[in-house]
Amino acid sequence: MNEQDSIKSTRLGRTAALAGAGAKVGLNYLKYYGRRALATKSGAAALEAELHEANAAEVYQTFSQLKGGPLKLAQILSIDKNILPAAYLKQFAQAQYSAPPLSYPLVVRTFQREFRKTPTELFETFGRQAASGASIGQVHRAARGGHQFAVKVQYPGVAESLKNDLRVIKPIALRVLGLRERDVAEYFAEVQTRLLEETDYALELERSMKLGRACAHLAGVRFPIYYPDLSSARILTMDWIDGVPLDRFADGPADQAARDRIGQALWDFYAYQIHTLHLFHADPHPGNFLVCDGDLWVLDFGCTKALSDEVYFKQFRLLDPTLVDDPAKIEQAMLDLRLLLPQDDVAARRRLTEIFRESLELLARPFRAGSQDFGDPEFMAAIFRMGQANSQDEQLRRLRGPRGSPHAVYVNRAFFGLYSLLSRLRARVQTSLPEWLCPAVV
Amino acid sequence: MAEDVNDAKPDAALREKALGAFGAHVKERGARPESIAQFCRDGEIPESAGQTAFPTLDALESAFWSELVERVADAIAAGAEWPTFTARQQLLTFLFTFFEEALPYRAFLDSRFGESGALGRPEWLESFEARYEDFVAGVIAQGEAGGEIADRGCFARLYPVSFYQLFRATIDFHRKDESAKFERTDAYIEKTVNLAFELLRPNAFHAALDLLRFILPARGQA
Repeated sequence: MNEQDSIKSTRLGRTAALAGAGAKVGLNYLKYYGRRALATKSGAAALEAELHEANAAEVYQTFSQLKGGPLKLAQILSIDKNILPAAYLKQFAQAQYSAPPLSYPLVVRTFQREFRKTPTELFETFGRQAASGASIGQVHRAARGGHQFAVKVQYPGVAESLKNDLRVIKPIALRVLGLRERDVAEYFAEVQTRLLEETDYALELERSMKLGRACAHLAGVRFPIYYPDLSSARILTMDWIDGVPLDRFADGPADQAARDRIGQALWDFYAYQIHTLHLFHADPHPGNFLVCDGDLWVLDFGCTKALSDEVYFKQFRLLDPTLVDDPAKIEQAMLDLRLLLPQDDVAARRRLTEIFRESLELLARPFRAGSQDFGDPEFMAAIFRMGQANSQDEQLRRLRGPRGSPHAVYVNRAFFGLYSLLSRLRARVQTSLPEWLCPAVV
Repeated sequence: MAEDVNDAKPDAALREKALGAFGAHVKERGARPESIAQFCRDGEIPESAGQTAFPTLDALESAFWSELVERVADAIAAGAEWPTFTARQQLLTFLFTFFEEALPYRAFLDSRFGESGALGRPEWLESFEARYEDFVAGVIAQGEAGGEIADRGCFARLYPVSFYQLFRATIDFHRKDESAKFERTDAYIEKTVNLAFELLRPNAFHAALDLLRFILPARGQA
């Protein structure tokens, strides 16, 4: 079996590969325009869907070959469902399980570089084949003294090539998504910062242990033990958990009670992190959660986001139930979050406020209602419809200036991810507003 | 036989001492000694014996580089997992280990291989090349036996020299590598060995042949 990957090695090679995807996307557009000229009106919509499908396949294929930055970006985009058309989502969602493995000698080499010892000197058994892939590393199963470990090994040079990848991918992503560079500069800077953090396993170890300890009391949520003496900047060792990945659990035969229990654990985990700790696991894709003996196991704290008090209160004031009906409050909240800019004219202000009110009504609904049945397909369908409509709204697209707080990127990612997972689980969860927003009991 | 061993002992010991002293010299100074005479004095090696063992600096340096390859090849072959490795894994293991072993001499390696260029074949590298090709012959034999490498008749004679060029290209890459812990060299080794083995796979050749058979008659007809 070929266990090697084919990451493009040089900067030029990586650039060429990404440019190749751009060229193919361009070619698909040419084909589309040529065929659309000949198509009937009813055929045009089908052709457009086909175009997105073809482009998504090209871009995804290139991203997954390059690993590192582009793959992570693909994952982020795959979860930020408001940004991408459905066809891209389908392709990018594959990114979660698709990275090919490092060779065993390179794994040994990494151990020698990090610990001056080989894997078999540190463990009694060590799986030569990766048990699973990840975007910037892979996981091996190892054992010592009857205990099973999951050992995550990072691809060499990922941190080095990440910045270059993002620099190269930026113009292509902008073109594919139809965005203006200066409008999304802060967004990319935020993504770059988080991605670079993900390459630092020492930081991940520290955060995993910290968040695991802080959330240990939550019912139904469990965390593997991490092993600092078997971890370094490029290797991270934790307990091996024999669980079922969350998507397989969700798509399997679990009964409603089991779905609700896992869904509730997931909701409580995010609610506690965000509203109490102001620090959260910002990578809510199904590969990062396992279900074992009715508990939700949380893996991979590579991507976490901390919110300052100022950012937190500005952002979550949006959950205030009185906001939607108070024009002055809503305008102030939008100005605070830079969703409205002082230079916006009256028409833009009115349109933005209208969209914002609609979004808020929908997205904050689970918080206000006290409970939410995520099995109701209409809820997620309404979110997708809204995202699709907003992304095609000509008036919105014409608006200039960077909008929104860069911190919101990962807040949105966490919530879209959370809602998507809960919806896939078809879970019914009890929800509540953060205490500071609860009406005072008289 | 016993006499032969006894006779060989002083030479082997002297050779080992000279190579050790040469290694220490280039590790510290990043350049080779001025002359054999100077080197013997600094290394406290009897000058006449030293000059007999290594008549020129090139001979001494040549032995240093080939001994480095030898040491790496022997060390990895002694590893418990070695017999279970595929040819690709064997070559990867050699290259990763070589650059680890060569690390203390990096300044010297940089200066000497820089002077000779990636394609240069100076006299002091001849036995280095020969020793490496010996090692690679074993890898190729294993690859052919295990079906990883296609036996392509007369083309197969080019395999050792091709693998040597790959080795030299890796040394050249490593010389210019400024990444932390030379991680980019590791990535380079992984990717280039991967590519080499993909090109040497039986299927790749058959696919190319198939394409040639398709194109050539068509050209003849045109």
